[in-house]
Amino acid sequence: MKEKMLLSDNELIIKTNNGDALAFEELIYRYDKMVLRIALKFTNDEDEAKDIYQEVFIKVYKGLQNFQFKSEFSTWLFRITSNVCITFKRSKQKKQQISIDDAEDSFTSTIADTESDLPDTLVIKSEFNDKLNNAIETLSPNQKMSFLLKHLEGYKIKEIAVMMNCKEGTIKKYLFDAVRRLKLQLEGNY
Amino acid sequence: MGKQMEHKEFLELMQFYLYDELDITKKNMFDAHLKSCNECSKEFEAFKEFISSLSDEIDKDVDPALLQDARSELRGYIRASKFNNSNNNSVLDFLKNIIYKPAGLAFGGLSLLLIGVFSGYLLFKESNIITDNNQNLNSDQYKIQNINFIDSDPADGKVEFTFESLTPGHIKGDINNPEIQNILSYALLTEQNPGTRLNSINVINATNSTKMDEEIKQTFISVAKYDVNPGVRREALKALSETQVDNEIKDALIYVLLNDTSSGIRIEAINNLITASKKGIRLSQNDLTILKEKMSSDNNNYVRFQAKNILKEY
Repeated sequence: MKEKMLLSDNELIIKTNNGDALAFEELIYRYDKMVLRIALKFTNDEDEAKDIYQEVFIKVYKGLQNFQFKSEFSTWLFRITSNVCITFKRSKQKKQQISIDDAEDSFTSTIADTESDLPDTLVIKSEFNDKLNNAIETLSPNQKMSFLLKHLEGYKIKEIAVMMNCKEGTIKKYLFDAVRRLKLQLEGNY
Repeated sequence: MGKQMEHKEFLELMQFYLYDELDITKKNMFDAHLKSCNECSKEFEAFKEFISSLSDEIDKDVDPALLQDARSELRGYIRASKFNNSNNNSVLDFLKNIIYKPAGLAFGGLSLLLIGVFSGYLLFKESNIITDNNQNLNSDQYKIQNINFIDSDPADGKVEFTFESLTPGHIKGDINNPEIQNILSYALLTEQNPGTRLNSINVINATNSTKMDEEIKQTFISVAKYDVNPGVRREALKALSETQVDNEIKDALIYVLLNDTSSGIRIEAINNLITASKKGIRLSQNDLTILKEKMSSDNNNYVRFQAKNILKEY
């Protein structure tokens, strides 16, 4: 259920900056599910998603005093989310030294066979979902973030460009490449 | 007639056509080509199916337990950060007091921090504070979790519970002790176990004080609005209604009435709103608009009926 709003985001920010902790809570609970959803899809790992969630909102908490009201709060929030996710992924990749080839190998590995009493159609759907998640994993951080903001959250390219601090043309390229890559990997599965 | 679209350009634009992100000229050219080219039309249908499968299959749900967990951790951080910045009456100071004050009695073998049984107004006398060692802890060590009640029955005016931080803790003391209440209100925001959260509300609410501490009031409001467990939300709401209702609590009641999916909790909220209104809390124009909406659209008869009753008074 979408939360019904008594106050606008900007009113809540002003109240928060005047020391109203409840206003901050109301503000973040309008969007935190979306942030967690993006983080979860981005990392494919619940613990990492929670780490990203924490980092995003701690940055929001610390940065709200300096919020200039030049953009929507949601745009600012998703810009932070996008930065945290991409930085997180890059630092993880650096640490683990995973090559793109490795990632592709992991994608092409077969889905684990599991005993299930689910109806066939659900099993097929679930298998496709797993394959889709694995395919999303192989995208570059920028492609992945553009893809999730578009296909998961439904933002317009113009909005994504502001959130990711890129030109619209760059976002189009990320989306185009991401979808082509997914299509190639999921060929015959949809 | 304008420029014809080439196959290659058509294929490149399919994705953005489906996103509805083409300008009107390109969109018209795209439509014209789609009608006239069989090959591209087939390609487009297949691509549309693919894009649609992406939207259908991408899992949009977030496990409520995961969300609750993430929220609890964040609340813990924010609360701890507030404690670290505050100069008095904080859980941090409280725990530091317990640890730094000299031991009155040592309990061997167990790593327990035990506060003696407090009574009446004799709070925090050094003789009541018992610790088995003089540890030098820094603030990072006070992340309290896994509170387990040994005695949560408020009848005797005492409460006893253990908790985990870097050093495990065990506290026994008067339920009116504000620091104990502070720890429990912290637990209310961060504990995973709904039973512990319920116990915390009941213990805090069993105090003799007629006026609720501001910090605790904020915590109860937060829990009444956002806790994932309806039983916990309801208890927080009840606790709020038993205190002196002010505009902040009234706003929380309105919020719950507007957003809570449980009709039982909305009933609790509207009943409390009626009581508050009788006690002189004025409803704003915005509140009345919400009540009008409730009067006609709430799926619970009682809520609709009571919304109408309140509106009659105005």
